[in-house]
Amino acid sequence: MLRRHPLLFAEWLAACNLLRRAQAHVPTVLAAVLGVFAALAVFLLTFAPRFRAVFEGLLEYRVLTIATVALYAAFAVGKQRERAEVRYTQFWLAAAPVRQYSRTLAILVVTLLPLTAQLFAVCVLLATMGIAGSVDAAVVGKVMLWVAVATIMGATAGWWSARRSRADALEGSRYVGAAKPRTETVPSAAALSGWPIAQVRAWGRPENLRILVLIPALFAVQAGSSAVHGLSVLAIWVLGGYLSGLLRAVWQAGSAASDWLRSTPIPFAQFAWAMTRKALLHQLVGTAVAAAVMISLGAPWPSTLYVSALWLAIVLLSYSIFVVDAYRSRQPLVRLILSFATLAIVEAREHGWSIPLAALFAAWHLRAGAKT
Amino acid sequence: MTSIVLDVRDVHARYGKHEVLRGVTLQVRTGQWFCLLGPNGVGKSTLLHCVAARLVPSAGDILVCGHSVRTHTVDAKRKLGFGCAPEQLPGLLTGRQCLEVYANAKGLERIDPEVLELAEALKFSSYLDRFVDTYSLGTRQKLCVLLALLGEPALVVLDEAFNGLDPASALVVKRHLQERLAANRCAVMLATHSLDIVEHYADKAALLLDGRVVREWSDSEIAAMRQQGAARFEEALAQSG
Repeated sequence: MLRRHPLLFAEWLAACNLLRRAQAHVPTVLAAVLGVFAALAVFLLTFAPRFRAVFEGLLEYRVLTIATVALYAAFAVGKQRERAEVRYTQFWLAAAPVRQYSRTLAILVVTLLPLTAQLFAVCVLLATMGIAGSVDAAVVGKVMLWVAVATIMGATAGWWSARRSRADALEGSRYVGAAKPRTETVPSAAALSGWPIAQVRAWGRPENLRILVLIPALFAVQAGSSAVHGLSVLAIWVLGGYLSGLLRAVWQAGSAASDWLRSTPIPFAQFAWAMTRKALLHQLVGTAVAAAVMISLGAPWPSTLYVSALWLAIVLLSYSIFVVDAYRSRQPLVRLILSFATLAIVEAREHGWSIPLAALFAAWHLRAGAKT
Repeated sequence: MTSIVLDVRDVHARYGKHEVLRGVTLQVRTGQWFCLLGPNGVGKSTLLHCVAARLVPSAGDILVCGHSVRTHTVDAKRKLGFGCAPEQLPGLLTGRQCLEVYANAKGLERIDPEVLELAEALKFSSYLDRFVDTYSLGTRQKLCVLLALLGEPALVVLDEAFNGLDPASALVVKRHLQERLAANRCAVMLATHSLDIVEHYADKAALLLDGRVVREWSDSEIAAMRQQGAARFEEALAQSG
């Protein structure tokens, strides 16, 4: 059947080859899978007593749960469909006589497969949480049903709302802005430190952000808040999006920079400082601004300070893992999972202790990187 | 007597279980233009990546100016100018920023004026403040060559560096490399399929087949073939293959 659909057949072969390739790295894959399972087991054992309250909360605020899941599904499917459309207009089989029906089918499968996998994973997680927390099966089933229904609703909306065949949709630097012409060229790592910022700006194009902005707007209207409150929430949301994007951008830019600069004798300390300098400064200033806005909205300042410090600790730890692994051409997933699982356990037992521990972990990772 | 800039000693390299290089041994001296030939997929780029310390050989060693790329990687890299693949250039940086970052990574105090003059000669100056992702293949290739020449490298390693370059720009690059070689400032290692470069510019060439060097041509052999006509090298290559 697949052979009648060349695009799907090509994708299927690529996936099979990827799996075959992974067989050559069985120990690494096994370690990663075991790491994920270990982190999951620790999470379930540590937080089991709280799961009943989580399910009750999800049911109590079911409209909010459904809206969040549906919006996420709509956003994910919309983005994935746009990517698939662009991908197939530039695909190596683009000039082959593939029927429109076959092309649409391929786009549908490629678009919905990741979300289906995510839905399955969430359902499995909810089920294990239900078992670990001895939650009533009917309650768990109800939550799973709501999540599934919301996903289907959101995915349908996302599929129809996605714009089609935008060949320039993934263009990298359209919103980065032109660089100022200069006459001098002097050795400097300044551009390296600006790279993650440029990456976030390239990601943060209006067409990428439109749904994300809708979420707080929707909730602000539901809550019946004032214009100032609405704008403040929106500002925190946008700032949060920027800071989260910046977190991911350091890995993205760091691994690309390391690959590009591999044949140069750049020392680790110089690489790490250049990659994170500006991003850290932006995180610091952004967090301070967000904290100020939150306090102005009436949030208690001890909790605000705690959340801000926790976020900065997460940033510091993530960046240290990212730069070390980018410099060493390694994947950071297992280290991230293990580090954050440890922090979660410590935080669950001793409130606030995860912050100094994260700084300690960051120093430990950087020390290991410096030995490279 | 010129010194040995590159000494490749019985190098083996593999990707997973697939062994790509199976005992490559060769030497390149200062002032030599060395061309690495061979069909697609025989390990030319892999060998260049090993020389540039981007890939660790599974056995054997590579010395750049006497520094092992395995044990004294940083010292070896200081002597090296590697022209990366055009698609590896960072799209979100401008050409000028690429030069600045690369020079900084190499620990240079300033950008060599000679490289900036070459940029001018290649008509690249007007692209300096544009983002790399807006460059054509040829323009990216020019930037790769400029980066490889930063910091007076003793060994310039180029992988198909003339692909996509217009004939005028290719000639400018070839002449520039020849000037550096004539002054014994460096050696050039070029992986290429272009036999006219071998015939007109190379001082030494080697044919790589199935991960091994199966044939080497010295300066005098290449000069003899040059006199016998353009097709002579092609024939010799076909016989060796």
